[in-house]
Amino acid sequence: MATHINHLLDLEGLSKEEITSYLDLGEHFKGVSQRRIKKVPTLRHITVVLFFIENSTRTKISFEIAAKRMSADTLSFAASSSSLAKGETLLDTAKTLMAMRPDIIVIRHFAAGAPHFLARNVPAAIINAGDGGHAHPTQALLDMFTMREHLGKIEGLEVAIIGDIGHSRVARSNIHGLRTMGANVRVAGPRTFLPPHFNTLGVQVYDRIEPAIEGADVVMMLRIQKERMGKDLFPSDREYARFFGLDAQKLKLAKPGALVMHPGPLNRGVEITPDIADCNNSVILEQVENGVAIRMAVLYQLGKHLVEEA
Amino acid sequence: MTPTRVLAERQVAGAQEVRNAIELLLEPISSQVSEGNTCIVGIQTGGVHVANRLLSRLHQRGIPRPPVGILDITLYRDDIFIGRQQPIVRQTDIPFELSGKNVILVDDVLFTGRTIRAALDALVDFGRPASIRLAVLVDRGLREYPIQADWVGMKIPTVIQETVRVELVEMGLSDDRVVVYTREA
Amino acid sequence: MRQRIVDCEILDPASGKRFWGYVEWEDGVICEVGQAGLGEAGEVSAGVELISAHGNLLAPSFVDLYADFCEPGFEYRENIASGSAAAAAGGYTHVLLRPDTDPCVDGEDTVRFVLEAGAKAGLVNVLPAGCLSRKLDGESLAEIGEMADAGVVALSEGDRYLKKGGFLRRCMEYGDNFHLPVILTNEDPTLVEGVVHEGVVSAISGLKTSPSVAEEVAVARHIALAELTRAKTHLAKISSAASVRLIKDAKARGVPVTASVAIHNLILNDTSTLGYDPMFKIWPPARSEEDRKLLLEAVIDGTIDSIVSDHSPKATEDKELEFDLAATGALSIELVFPLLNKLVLAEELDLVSAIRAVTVGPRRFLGIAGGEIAKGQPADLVVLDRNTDWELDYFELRSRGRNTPFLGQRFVGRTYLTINRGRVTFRRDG
Repeated sequence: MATHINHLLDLEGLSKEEITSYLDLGEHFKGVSQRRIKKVPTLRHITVVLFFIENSTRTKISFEIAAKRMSADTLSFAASSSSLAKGETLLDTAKTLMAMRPDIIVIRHFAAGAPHFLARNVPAAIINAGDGGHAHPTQALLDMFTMREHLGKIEGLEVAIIGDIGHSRVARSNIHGLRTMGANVRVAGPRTFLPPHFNTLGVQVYDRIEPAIEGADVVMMLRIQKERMGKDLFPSDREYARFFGLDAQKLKLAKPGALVMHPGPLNRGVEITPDIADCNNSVILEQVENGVAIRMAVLYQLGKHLVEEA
Repeated sequence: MTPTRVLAERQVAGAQEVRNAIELLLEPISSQVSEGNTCIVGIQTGGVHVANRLLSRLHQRGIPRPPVGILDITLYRDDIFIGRQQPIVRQTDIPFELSGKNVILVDDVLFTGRTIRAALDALVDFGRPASIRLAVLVDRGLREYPIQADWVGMKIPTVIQETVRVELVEMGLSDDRVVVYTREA
Repeated sequence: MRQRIVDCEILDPASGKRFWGYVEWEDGVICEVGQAGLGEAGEVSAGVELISAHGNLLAPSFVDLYADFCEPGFEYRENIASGSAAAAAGGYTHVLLRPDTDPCVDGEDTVRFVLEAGAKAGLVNVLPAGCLSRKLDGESLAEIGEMADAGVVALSEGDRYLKKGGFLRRCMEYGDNFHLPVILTNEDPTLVEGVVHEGVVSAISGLKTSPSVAEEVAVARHIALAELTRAKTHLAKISSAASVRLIKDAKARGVPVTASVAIHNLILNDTSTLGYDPMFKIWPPARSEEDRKLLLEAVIDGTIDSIVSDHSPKATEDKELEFDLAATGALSIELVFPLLNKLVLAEELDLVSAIRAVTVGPRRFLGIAGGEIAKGQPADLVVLDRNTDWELDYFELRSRGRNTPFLGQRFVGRTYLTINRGRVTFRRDG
């Protein structure tokens, strides 16, 4: 079977060089996506399974497009229609899949560590598309790619991440990636969203948005999950928008030309006002485009080593 | 990948021979370019340097510069997964419409023909050229595919264990030459 | 307008100093404090109005951290206007109101309502507290940020206990985000059946009980959460020795907690329930004599920082019932000083500690100025008559309620004059 399997499970273990090579490859694949024929035949012998136990439209489509542009075959596996709903364990489901010989499994799951579990038990290359509150490495890679594209570098940047930090895998992966690349990260949110020991990750923690945004090169707003509103973490949309949402007034505190980013989908009027979501500083739509390019790069990196010896 | 030792090295062409080979290519290329509707595409990385040399010679002859592109074929290779080397994807830039043009594809060394096969697949993904002609500085024989160059600068007979390397001043080196290496297995 | 009060013995509770003198103020701020004997006025400039304290004690005005003015929702018991009148008569210039009214104070509209009603009455600074949970549901956060901007000074769930510890943690963290302290009452309802202290006396009376452990468990939980969240936490209305011990330890460790005791828990013990008189039905329960003595010691040594009124007016028809069915609570805000004086005369509490607990302690918790009689401080003062013997009769009270166990009793000492930012808001006639 495979001579050597690589995985992309999270960014904690990646070196600066490894991250840089993903970003550099991303540039080439972005070029491919801008051609008339948005396809290269490189991974035409590879089958990619999209194993999405936790629902997601945009990430799933992004991976699917990326795989197809690499000429790979794709297979989709959704939670509700799966045998998991009938009580089959994750491992049994994965082993059943393996009998069909996929080369790469892209997994999104509610439970942190599910991709690691698969990587230990299943002989395919595993890409983590989001595991619970733990990690979302391709999101962080595409975020860093976007920053580098606009600002020319990542080292030395002041990056503010605002929102439900404690439950956010996007925040965690970005924190690890950005710090490895030498950026300075500030996180902010209401105290109920800030886990107590986050400052041990080497970030500055604020319970107000203003000090975090001040002088920032990048302002990244995280999505507020509506399910959490009105319960024990936060009282209402209105109060969040007023104290922690990004609007033109608060954006003035950042450096001129600061990037406004958001992993999507947006709650317009809650964490970000509509005028700012669409303003000149906003690179939110580019993040989506870059997401495909980065995922092509990841598939390429992991897939190029998989070979069937005749 | 463990680096292998160079066992033997010999220079098979010096600066003058390289310049002669370039002039040999220049004749047919400049008439093709002068006819118009022609572009030059260099294959990364050696072909790009050869193409740059050809372009400066064309310029010295007063011939207007044709559209120029660079092509990286890593993503189209058929041997990407075999072998110990980490293939590096380099820049591809074809900043013009390829359809309907006569393409002069340029590479430094023609060997098995697999690189050119990949380059043809990549080119047609950009458009439908009117024609494709192949110019190579060195033909070292040992074809594995039925591919031949239209224009060849010089022929050098080699064996499979050898490696041919074209060195040009465009690469930041002191002078032009062609060298043949043998590495340990 | 400049005014000077003379013929008074000045007590500054922060420093403990006592001396005969005068205090002059202009535009609500003290501009001069000096020594002068009884009958002397010192050097008075022209245009200064003189007020005589008639040889009584002058202290900083009182501040209450826990009172119920019953409005909105229960105006038949009390409203902000009548409560303010009662408070001014009690020597108070600032009163923090419980937010568990109906509707409760969980948004900027109700906060503004309370502030406007207080301003209209114009007798005390009505300080609104905001609820922790929306509609007091105990599980969703109220719009604390908005309330902070609207002017609440603290957060509280009133006399309710938040059953979900995880939710209370979030409240404390979120409140701290807006620099609002949290005032918590302390009784785990799953450990109680009634409101009478569980002890020797309840064994005799057979009344339904509330053991000290119910308070102890709650206090321990709140101390632990204060330690974790570092939120400024006030443990209100402590009634047992066990709780005092926990609080002393917590303070020694640097946990950001303060504590208060309600005036009635310093006066009464559980024997007061033996007559089954609902007028003595209060909460927290009056506990054993041993608990009462330890509470007094705690006030003296500062483990308990403040004495609160826990003013709880109730309609007469709600009190004239069998003990089990009667409403719980007593009005108190007009009687705090006479009751304190009773303890001082019985030598159970010294005057300085008593006054400090209703002036300095509460102000420190709220972070408001005053509590010291010195130049530059606000002219928030009270004149206390420590000698007059009087009987509490029905018509004395300015509160709408009449539910106090002390009706018909004789007292020594009462308030004479209350001055709020230089303006007289209460003057005793006769």
